[in-house]
Amino acid sequence: MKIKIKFENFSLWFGNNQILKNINLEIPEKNVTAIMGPSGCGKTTLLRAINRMNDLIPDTKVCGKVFIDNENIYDANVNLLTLRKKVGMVFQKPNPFPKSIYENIAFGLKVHKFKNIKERVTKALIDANLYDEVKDNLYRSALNLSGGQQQRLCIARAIAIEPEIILLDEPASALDPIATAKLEELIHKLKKEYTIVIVTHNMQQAARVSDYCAFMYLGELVEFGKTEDIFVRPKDKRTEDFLLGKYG
Amino acid sequence: MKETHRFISGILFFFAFLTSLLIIFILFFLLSYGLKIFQFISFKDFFLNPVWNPTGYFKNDYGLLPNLWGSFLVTSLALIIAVPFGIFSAIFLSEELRKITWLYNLTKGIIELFAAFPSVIIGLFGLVYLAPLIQKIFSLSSGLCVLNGGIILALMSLPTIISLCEASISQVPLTYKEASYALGVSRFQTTLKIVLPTAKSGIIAGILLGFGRAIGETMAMLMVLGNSPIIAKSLFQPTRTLTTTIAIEMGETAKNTPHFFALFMLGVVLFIISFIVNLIGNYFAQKRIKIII
Ligand SMILES: Nc1ncnc2c1ncn2[C@@H]1O[C@H](COP(=O)(O)OP(=O)(O)OP(=O)(O)O)[C@@H](O)[C@H]1O
Ligand SMILES: [Mg+2]
Repeated sequence: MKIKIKFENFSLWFGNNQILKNINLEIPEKNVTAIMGPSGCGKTTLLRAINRMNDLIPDTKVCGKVFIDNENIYDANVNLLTLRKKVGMVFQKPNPFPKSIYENIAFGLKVHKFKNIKERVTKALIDANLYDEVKDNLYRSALNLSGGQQQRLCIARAIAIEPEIILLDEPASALDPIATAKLEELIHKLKKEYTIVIVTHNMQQAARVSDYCAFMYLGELVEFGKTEDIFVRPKDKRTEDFLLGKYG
Repeated sequence: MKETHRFISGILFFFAFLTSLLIIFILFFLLSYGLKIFQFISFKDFFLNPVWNPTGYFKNDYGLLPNLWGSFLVTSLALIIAVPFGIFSAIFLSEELRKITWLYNLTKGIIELFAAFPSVIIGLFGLVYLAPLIQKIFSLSSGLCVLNGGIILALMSLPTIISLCEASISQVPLTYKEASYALGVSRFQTTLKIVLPTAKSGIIAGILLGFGRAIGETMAMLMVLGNSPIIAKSLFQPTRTLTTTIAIEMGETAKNTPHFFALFMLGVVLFIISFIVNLIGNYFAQKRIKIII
């Protein structure tokens, strides 16, 4: 099994608050890895460390390394634009641009100078299981879509520019059960081509969609392993408590 | 509670009503005098005549065009200077300077202060400082010209443009920008293709209200334009605007003469232009607020 992303003694501070504490983690390629843990434990921050979105927050300090394909992305000479093209991200709250459905996807394609924009937009929509619902309204504002459709549009936008990794930050938190089911089906389909890291609060969801599972607590990575192992035989007491719903 | 609420909205409605009434009254007042000019000359002699010469030896000319052209020229020049500068400053303020709170507040304070500057002071700057400079650089006989007026008006409309653009740019949600950065799009492209289009309504409002401020400006224009009622063909010629002609000549003309009525008609034209521009500007400003809420 090839390792796609590797955290090595990685710590992160916002100002004086240490948010991530000496994380060591190996995320395998073309699998779904779920990150679980109680609210505020640093899941989003860990995810945003992979495409260096934390850099945008003033006063961020990091130490340690994160490798993608054996390249340390915190090296001084790393090109952030190339990195972020390779690592797509879908946010907790759907955030389509206030543009048409078509433009939402074409934007990234144009910036990265892809050809055959139109075909690629269609393909991304098909891959994101959204095409049939929007094919007659491609030039209508994306803001008119439902929450679940917006979230799939954000996924289409991310996969259109051909990333290798997709980061999903609680993508289902604003969705109803049907939209969530569609999204999970989509995640299942996407893992054939992409390495997927998904943050989730929801244990059932983690159990359903992920192959590997990491459990975080107060900035530490407590446990990591195959999902079935973690759910059946958690090694750490804190993981067990979390799975029993003791953290709420 | 509900009673007081009704009472307050009643008062607000009353004043809004009064204001609208006042505006209609002013328009009627202007029209009642202004339209009388057409008892003396034809529409064509007013609207299409390129000569303004109300005290001619053989014939009096009351042409709108030199005044309108002057207003148009100076205001356009002002916008050509002020719009790019204003948008750029607004971007800089909201995207860069905002991180340094005290400097941001100080800069905004200065800009707002500048908006409240008496126009005669800014005119004085044009007259005493800018005019000799322009005269020297372009070796002209006088620095009182369209260019000078354009620069002064640009200065005067900048605070409006910057404030409105800045307000609207800084209200663009961070989530839009994050979405763009996460796609590997540079800051420059994100600003150009995501932030500015999202803030479009506020930017248009800023430009239009800046235009509204510029076209009505009188005192500073009196001081720096050279006041010659010709159709200026270059930036270095003196000119007149709708406002300056009215201000200069109203005092020295007898009541109820054709000249008097013609000046009122200039006022009507000015009123209509600024009314429409402000109306559209406010429409976009409202639209901006709706989008954000
Ligand atoms: N922009 C920021 N500036 C300062 N501190 C932050 C910032 N964002 C998050 N934090 C802090 O970092 C810690 C971890 O936050 P993070 O968002 O990673 O948690 P999370 O596990 O994703 O929580 P949730 O499940 O609620 O989304 C929290 O204590 C939070 O207060
Ligand atoms: Mg989070």
